[in-house]
Amino acid sequence: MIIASAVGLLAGLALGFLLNITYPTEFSFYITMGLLAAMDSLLGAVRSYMENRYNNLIFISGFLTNAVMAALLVYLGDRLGVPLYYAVIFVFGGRLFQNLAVIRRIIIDKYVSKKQERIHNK
Amino acid sequence: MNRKSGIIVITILALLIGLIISIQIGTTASSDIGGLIPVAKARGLEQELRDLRVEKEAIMQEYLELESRMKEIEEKTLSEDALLQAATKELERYRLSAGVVDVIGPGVIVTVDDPVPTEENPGDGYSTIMLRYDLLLSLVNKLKDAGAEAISINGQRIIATTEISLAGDNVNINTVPTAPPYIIKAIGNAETLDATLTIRYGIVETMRNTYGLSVTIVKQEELEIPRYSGVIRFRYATPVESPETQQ
Repeated sequence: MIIASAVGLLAGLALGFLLNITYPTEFSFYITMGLLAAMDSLLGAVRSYMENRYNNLIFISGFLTNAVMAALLVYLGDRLGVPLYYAVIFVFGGRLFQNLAVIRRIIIDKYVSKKQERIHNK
Repeated sequence: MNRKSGIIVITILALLIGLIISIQIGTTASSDIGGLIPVAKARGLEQELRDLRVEKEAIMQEYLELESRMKEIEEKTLSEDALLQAATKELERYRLSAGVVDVIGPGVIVTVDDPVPTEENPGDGYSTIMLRYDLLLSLVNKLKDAGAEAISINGQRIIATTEISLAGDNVNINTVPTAPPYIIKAIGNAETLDATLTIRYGIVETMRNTYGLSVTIVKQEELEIPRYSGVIRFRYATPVESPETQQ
């Protein structure tokens, strides 16, 4: 699970550096917001995977709607001159840490219960 | 089954994240300002520009001071060496003809302004003389024809490289934007200059009758024309060494 995401991350990094793609700097903000949405979705997926509640359809649709909503907010903020992207940063940033905390707890729980099982078996 | 496909989807997503991060790094590294221009950076650049402007002003001041000191030294040594004296006189003549010294003498002051809008002729909001800046060129040409030795338009000395050209909303002269009214000063024989301009079917008549411009010519006993304040630089042209190499 975690190994798969790590491998994907490294492969993506290598691919990006090798292909040497650039895009106009105006889109920088949208890309960054998309990145945040993707990171949030990834951690969310890992979490639900560990909780054995993972569902492909929910995951993909969630990722797409999140990304579209983030882009829309950034665009609207750009037009209105109001920094609406703060909403995106706060929500996704907050959820990122929340998901991380849940994953950490699940891992610790597993580790502790395994240890106790071993003690019990002895 | 579901778990397997989940791993594939997550790997693809992680790949996407890695791709975005690496592209973003590449973009930020390739442009020196970076993807997002932080406000602090823009402020810093603004401050730098202001500092440089002040510095330029100070250097200009220093330049003028040094120039006047050089003149003093030149004058001091002038009295000692006859050869140097001749050379300096020559230099002064070339500088005069190049237009890099202030000059004073008799001549005319021509003032050209746009027609005053009247009720039957309200105008279209554009400046006639700026749109027909070639009239200024012809005027300068006629003044030269009449033997003007130094000409300036709105304080810009006309030298060999001077352009008079419409650029956006301004007429650029010596790359300095100017606007009406145009005050053209010319040093020369005032009578000749005046007569050349006001001759029948001449340039002033055309400007007045065809374009409705207001043109006034004032003859002066003494008027001062400023020097060319830019930098004369030759990047492409170099002098030919000797006549033999030309063939």
